[in-house]
Amino acid sequence: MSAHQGLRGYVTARGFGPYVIPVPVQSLALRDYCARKKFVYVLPGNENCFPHSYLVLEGLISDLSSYEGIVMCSMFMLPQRAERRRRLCQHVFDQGCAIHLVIEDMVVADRQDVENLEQLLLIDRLAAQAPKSIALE
Amino acid sequence: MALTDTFRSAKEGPDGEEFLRTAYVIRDFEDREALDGLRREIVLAAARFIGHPAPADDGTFLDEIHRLVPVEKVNDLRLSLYREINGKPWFRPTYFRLVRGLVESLVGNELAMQNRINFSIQMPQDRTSLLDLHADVFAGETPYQIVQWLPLVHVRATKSMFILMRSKSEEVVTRLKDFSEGGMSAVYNAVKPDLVWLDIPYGKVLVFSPNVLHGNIVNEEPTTRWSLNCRYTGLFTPYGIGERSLGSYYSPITARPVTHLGMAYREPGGFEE
Repeated sequence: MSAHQGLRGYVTARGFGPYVIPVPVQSLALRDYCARKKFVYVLPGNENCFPHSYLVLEGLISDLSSYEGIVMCSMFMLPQRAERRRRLCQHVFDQGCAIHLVIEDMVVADRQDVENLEQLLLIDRLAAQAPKSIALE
Repeated sequence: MALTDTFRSAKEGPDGEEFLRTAYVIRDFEDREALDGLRREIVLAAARFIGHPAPADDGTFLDEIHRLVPVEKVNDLRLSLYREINGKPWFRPTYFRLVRGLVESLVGNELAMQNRINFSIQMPQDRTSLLDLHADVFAGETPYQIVQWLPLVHVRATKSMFILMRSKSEEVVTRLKDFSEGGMSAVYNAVKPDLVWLDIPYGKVLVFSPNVLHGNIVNEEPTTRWSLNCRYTGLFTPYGIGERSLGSYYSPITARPVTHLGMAYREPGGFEE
């Protein structure tokens, strides 16, 4: 049997990206994802609600030796600073684990996945700055 | 007529002082018969779920459940019990009755109670049921609440939960941002020598403020931990974020006659200047 079993959940009561999802609903989504993908679901860590804190996430990834990775609702729950995101992803990979993102239906498991993720986040940020409508006259 | 110079009653003094100092108290249940009856119902529901005959010894059955249920099924068992027992009309009133006097002395007598009582089952060596170091208030819950934590078996050491005394918890919380890199794991390592591992025999209850840091680790004892937990807050105190507020998470249980009268009052209107 593999030493790594199951995905550790990660939830937050804060809004993330365009979403505000109650924690119990996030837990249902993570449980459903794990059931569909045949992973054991491990009860989630709940992030602190004060702004810019990732204490729970940093704690979760500090020892993933028992798990196959972590699962969260969205890529927007990751730290907003790209440098910090990359460091966090690398720390997960170093332990033979991956990050599962339910809404984006994406698994971030290696450096190429990180590049794809970063590109997606960058485009999203730029798209948000685009005008909502264009005056024709 | 006896005169007095205090508003406090004699019975609430010791509990309140200890609670303010440590943020928790461990006391005997106020109705042992009700406790045994409540545990029996949970045992019977668990036995039905796993197709096991009703056991003769409830405590041994719960302690040894890991011999009857594989660890990968423990969450299914937990959720089944959570749904079934929370659906019983006697569950919350009985749970409250077990500690009513203590809760009223610490919180007040107009209370809101968590809508559903949580179940925790932690088998030996199971890493899927962990609740790392945390404070409930960090996740947006009200700071005006207490937790009634009820072990269904004798819990001690890693089979139990740990808590940080109030003064130490408040000290480390003031410098929480210093742990941004290592996260809550680094906080845990910093406070580990000061953690109190609660030894609570069956028949006693823990009431604590979840504002202080607490949690559990892998159960390295040979038997399974079973515990229930539920929150109370003063009916008219600030609530937490939406999903942890009145209705979604809490409901009133002991609103008093004057409150009902007050809520029914309608100011006369229709006057003209």
